[in-house]
Parts: sequence; structure tokens; C-alpha cells
Amino acid sequence: MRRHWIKTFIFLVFTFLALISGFNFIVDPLQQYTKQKLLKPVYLNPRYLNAGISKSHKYDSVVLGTSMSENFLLDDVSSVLGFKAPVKLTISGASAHDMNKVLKTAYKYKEIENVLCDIHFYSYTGDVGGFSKGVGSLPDYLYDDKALNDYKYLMNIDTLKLSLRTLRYNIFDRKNIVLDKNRMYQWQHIFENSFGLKNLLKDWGNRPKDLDIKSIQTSRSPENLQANFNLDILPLIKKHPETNFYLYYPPYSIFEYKQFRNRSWLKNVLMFKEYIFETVSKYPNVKIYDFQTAKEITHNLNKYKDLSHYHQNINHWILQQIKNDRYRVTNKNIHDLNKDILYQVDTFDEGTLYEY
Amino acid sequence: MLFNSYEFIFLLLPLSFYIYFYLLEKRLIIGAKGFLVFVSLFFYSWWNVAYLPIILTSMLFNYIIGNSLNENFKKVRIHKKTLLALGIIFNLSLLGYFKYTDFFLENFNSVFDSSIPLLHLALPLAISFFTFQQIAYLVDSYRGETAEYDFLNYSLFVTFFPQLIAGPIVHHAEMMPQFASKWNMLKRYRNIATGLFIFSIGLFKKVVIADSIAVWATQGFDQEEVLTLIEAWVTSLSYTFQLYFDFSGYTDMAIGAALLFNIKLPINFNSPYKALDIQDFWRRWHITLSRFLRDYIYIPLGGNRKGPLRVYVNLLATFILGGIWHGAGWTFVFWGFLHGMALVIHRFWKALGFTMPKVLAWFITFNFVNIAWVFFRAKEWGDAVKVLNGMFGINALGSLHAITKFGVAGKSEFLVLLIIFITAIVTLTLKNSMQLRQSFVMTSRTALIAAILFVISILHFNRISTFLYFNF
Repeated sequence: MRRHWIKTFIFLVFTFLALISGFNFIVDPLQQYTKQKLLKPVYLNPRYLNAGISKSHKYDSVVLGTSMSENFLLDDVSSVLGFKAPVKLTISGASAHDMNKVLKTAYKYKEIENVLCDIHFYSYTGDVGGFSKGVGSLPDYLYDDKALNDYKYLMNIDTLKLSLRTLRYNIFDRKNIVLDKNRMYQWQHIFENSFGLKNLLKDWGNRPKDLDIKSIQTSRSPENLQANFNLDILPLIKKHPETNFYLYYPPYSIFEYKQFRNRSWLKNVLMFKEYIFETVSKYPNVKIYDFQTAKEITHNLNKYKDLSHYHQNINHWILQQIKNDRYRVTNKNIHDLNKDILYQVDTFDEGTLYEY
Repeated sequence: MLFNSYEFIFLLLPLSFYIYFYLLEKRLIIGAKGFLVFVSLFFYSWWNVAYLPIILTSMLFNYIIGNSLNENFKKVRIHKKTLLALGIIFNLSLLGYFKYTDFFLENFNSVFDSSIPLLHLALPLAISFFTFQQIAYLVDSYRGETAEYDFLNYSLFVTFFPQLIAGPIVHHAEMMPQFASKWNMLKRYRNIATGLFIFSIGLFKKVVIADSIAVWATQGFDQEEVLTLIEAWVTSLSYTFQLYFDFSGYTDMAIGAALLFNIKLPINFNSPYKALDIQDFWRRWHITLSRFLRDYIYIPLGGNRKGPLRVYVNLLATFILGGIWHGAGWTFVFWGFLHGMALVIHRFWKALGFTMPKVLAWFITFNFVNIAWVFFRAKEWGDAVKVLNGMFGINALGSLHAITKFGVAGKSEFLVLLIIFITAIVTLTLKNSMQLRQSFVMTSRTALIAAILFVISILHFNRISTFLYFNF
């Protein structure tokens, strides 16, 4: 009986673990093994899911970046820009290092013709080489190829929850937006009713007033911004001349720029933009677009849900501008663009807005 | 290496178990014990091998001093008391250097307005535990209460991995005979089964209960700048239960793991939050520490033999020292002081012959302990003040909004309160793991329960945090 208890215990432990791991393996909610034919993945948690999508989905183009790019519709990217099989590997709040790891992983599995990526100022303000959510937030056991560490994925309560959620959506809620690859990772539907001047002004009123100036000066210094770019973005451009990089400065509302100026980072932002252009312009596979002077967008404040996040329609507009090669940064216009934004910020008077 | 890690559970523990008993079966007793010491040191070095020389030096030094104090004293030409003093000074210096230098320098700097640079030494793991255990050994050798121990058994006493990192603080007199006993050299299936059972319970307490509750405590103590009434109570209660489930769960695992090797570690927790007075609390919380403080500080100070006033002073001194043993900081000193004062008041109250209804007694005790933990947990004075301000209504009654921030705790206010309430009920009404150990019978039902707890815990080792949108 005594031996029997121990044997029963060990038998039960291994049986349960095997059953749960097996179930997780079959449902494979993070797409680690093959692209599920029967079940669609739930497109949430990009930090985890991007690894599996890179490995097991078919694609020849990548939409990279932050929340600025999350609302691109993949069908739109195909039809406007002509990319054959685009996939989205964005991460909201991504740091440059997050993007680096994601894109490197994608290169490991596929040849990539095109990369469309936002240059969001905040991706470059963190510690150099740092993940936005800390060490382990893009876990190696998902991003690497080693089968030996997959137990961390399979024997995992959160994977089990994801598996159950994947099943639940696929069986009872097949129309749910989170299963739609075309709309993967989009946030438009969540904030559909949050766009408008009122929210924008509220956000402006709530902006933190007392900021730790010293840490801002170091994290937003030209050196820090450049170091992040040099470590995580530039090497990928250099290493992959076969890929067309479409980089764009997202059209923040003019308020975002006002905030930059009020906190005296504006100079650093403009210097950073010049630095990027200088560094990258010698590579023929890179095109940079700057929508931040596009007054018809950035001053149309009803199209924003806060200082920086714009409506999905603007994502469509961005694609069209890129297609028509408008707002392209060249060595002829770079200085004018910077002057223009300075002029816009100086002449913009928010006082009139409150009268509405 | 933590008990709640894949490496420990699936490699180190089963392998060391099989190899140890295999060597014993082959009658390689010295080999088996040597192997267990080796495994323990490996376990210790897993964190940082740089600390290995520290524990080895400490062990060797204390063994030699202890033995000299005892049997071989005639050969040593040094005064016995001097030798003991030397031994204690060595241990305290080692502990003091690593644990308290920066604390001392900080205070020195602030008092004398100087700027002596801090050393920023990393605290060698478990140094507080093995130092105390060996001081007890030296003192008892001096008193002539130790036998001449075999070095291998002594090494096992100091390093035996189940108790090495976080206790229980074992006493040589209860350990050495067990390591020496021939009876313990055979596999004992009842011990193995009980060990696995207790280990599973402890693992679940630590990984599933404590680690889940910890999120709210961390949020309230370390991240929020202002707490509302409910937030502050959720914060402090979360920590109170987190600490209990974490520490007692870890102790259960230690007791369970040791049982696989037929070693019975002392009980360390006995439902402390059921205590009806503060003295009762300290007979139920971290029992082996209370025992050490009583035998090696309180009683040598004179205990309760020198009149009531001296008792109060001794109690206070013992608990302030106990406070600073937990960590180098004024918050720990103050925490110790609070408990010392509570014990003094309790004694005074009892001396006057007052009594009170049980429910009230429990309520006062629990709330005192809960409030005192605020100082224990807070990293800075300011954090303690912040939580207490919130708890006692200096901020307006508010919702739990800040504690359940989207993507941090990811739970609704109601659910958080409900979970804490259920945890409280479980803690206060159910049998604790040591009682479960007493009543443990080897049935399919207990095997199933243990297996389920164990498997759920394993699934919790590696969490996928949900950074749901939106915090860009």
C-alpha cells in the first residue's frame, strides 16, 4: 500500500501533465508548431503570438511597429501597396529592441520582401537594448527553435487558458474580430466611440505635469535615441538589402508635438529625425515618409482618441500616400519639414478649441 | 535554485534521492552522506558560486571551534570563554559585514553628514540562517551539551539543502542524531509518501496562493503613490496572507523534501493567524526562530528570572534584535519594537488578571500583526506611512481602481476582495499542513488530491503575463 500510494501519485502527476501538455500541443494557441487549419488563433498577446506566427504562417511582407501600425488592415496593405502576403507583427508599446527580436525571428524563417514600420518616438526612449516590458517579456522558449524548452509553453496554466479561449471563440464565437487575421491586433473596434476632440482635450488636460526632468533628459537625449536606433534597427537594414523598408513617422495630433515642445524635447525629436535620414539615406532599400506635417490630418482633431492615436481611416490614408510616394523625406526637403513642424507648433493655438 | 523550479523538482530532488539511497544500499554510508553534502553545496552555488567559500569557511571554522570547546578542549590552551567569544564574534562579524555594513554606513553618513561610499555587497544566501544555527552549536558546545560530532554529519547539519535557504532554523541536537541513525538509512515509504504529500501542499501554497496574492501587495506598496481606504486594506491584507502562504509553504516544501531522506525537520508554523494573543502568535509563527531567540538571547539576558521590569526590557531587546535579524533597516527595527511592545503590554495585561472575549482577542491580535507587517514589508518609511494613511481613512473611501489597473492585476475589485476573503476563511478555519500531516492516510483520495495540487502548481511556474492592450 505504501509503495502503491507513491506509484499512484507519480502516475497521476505524469498523466495529468501529459494530458494537459497534449491538449495544449494540439490546440497550439500560440501557433508554435504548425499553422492551425481547423482553429483560428486568437490574435491577442502579440508579444507571445508573434513568435509562433513568424514560425508557422506564410508571409512575404511584415508590418512592424507599435500601436501606430496595429490598425492597418492586411487586405488593405495588399491591395494598396501590392504586398503579396503581408503579416502583422506589431506590439503595442514596442521598444526598438522588441521590434528587433521580432523581425530577426521572422528573418530566420522566411524571406521578407517588404517591411512597413512606424518610427514612433517612444520606441527609442527606453534603455538601449531593453525590452519594453522587461526581460523575458518576449520569452526565448517561444522565440527559439529548441524543442527541449517547450515544456515551459506546454505545461503552463496560461497556455491552457489560451487553449480554452481559442476553442471557445472558434466554436461559439466564430465572428469575433480577434479571430480575423485581416484585422489582427487592431484596437480600432475597442475605441470606436472614443475618438473626438473632447477626449483629446481631456487627455491633454490630464497629461502628467511634474515629470522627472533628469530622467527625461537622459532617456530622451539625442544620444539615447540614436543608440537605440543604431543597435536595433540599423543593423537589420544593413543586413537585408533584399528587403524594402518603408519607414514612416506617424501623424500624431499637433498636440503631441506641442507636448514635445513644452517639455523641450522637440529639438531632440527633430535632431533624431535628421540623424535617421542621414544614416539611412545611403541605403537604396529604405524609404522614409513623414506625415507629421500633414496638417489636414494632424489638425483634424476629431480623428484622434488621445494625443497620438489616430483613427483606422488614417492608416488607410497612410498606405495611399506611400503608394503615391507622397510625404517622402528627401535630402531636399528634410530641413523644410523640420522648419514646417516648428512653425505649426508655434502658430497652433489650442485656446480657441475650448470654445467648442 | 528554488524549490519551486523545474530544475529542483524534476532533476535535483529525484536524482539526489535515488543516488543517495543507491549508495546506502551499497553500504557506502560515507559516500552517501558526502554526496548529500555535495548536492547541498551545488544547490547553494546555483545562485552564485562566489558565496560557496563563505559557507565553507564558516562551517569549517565553527566545527573546529565547537570541537575545541567540547571534547578536545584539554589540548587547546586558551580560555574557554575567550574561545566562545571569539567564535561568536567571528559569526557575528561575518553576518554584520555582509548584512549590516551599508545600513551602518548610511546612518553614519546621515548623522555625521559624511559621504563614505556604500559597499553594495550582495547578501550571501542563507547567511542569517546558517550563522544562527552555528552560534547555537558553539554556545551548546561551551555548555558541554554537544557530543563530539562527526565532521560529515556536522556538514550535513549546516548544509542539508531542504533547510539551507529559508529554515526551519534547525538545532544540532535534533539533527545530528538523525543523520547518525542507522534506521534512517533505509527507504521508508511512509516517509516518502508523507513527504510528497506535504511538499505538494507547500508548493501549492507558495506558487498558486502566495504568488497570486502578491501582485496586489506589490502594486499597493511599490507602485501606487496614494491609496484609498479599500486599496490600502487590500494591500496590507494581501501582504499578510502572501507572507504566510509564501513562508509556510516554503517550509512545508522543506519538511516534505527532508522527509524523503527520513529527516524530520521541526515544525515552523502552526496557524499563526488563529492566535488569540501576541504571545500565542509567536508560538505559532516561525517557531524555530522564536525558539532560537528564547534560548540564545532572551534566557541569557536573564529571561524572566530577574523581576518584572527586567522581563519587559529583555522582551523588548530580544524582539528588536529579532527585527534587525530580518533585515538591515529601521523599518525592521521598528517592526521588532512593535512586537516587543505588544508582548510587554500583553504580559502586563495578563499580570493584572484581565481577560477578554475570544473573538475580540483574535481581532486585536490579527489586526496588530497585520499593521505591524506594513513596516516589515515597506521598502521605505514613506511606503509604510502611505499604506497606513490609506488604511486609516486619511484619504477618502474610494474604489479599488488603482489596485486593479488594467493589465496589472487584471481582476475586478469585487473579485480581489472575494479572493482575500476566501483566503482569510481558509487560513482561519481549515486544518494547517502540519495537522494534515498528522492525519495523513495513504489512500487513493489523498494521492489524487496531492497530485492535483502538485500539477496545478507546476502549471503556474512560468506565467504568461497578459499585457493586454492598452498601455502604450
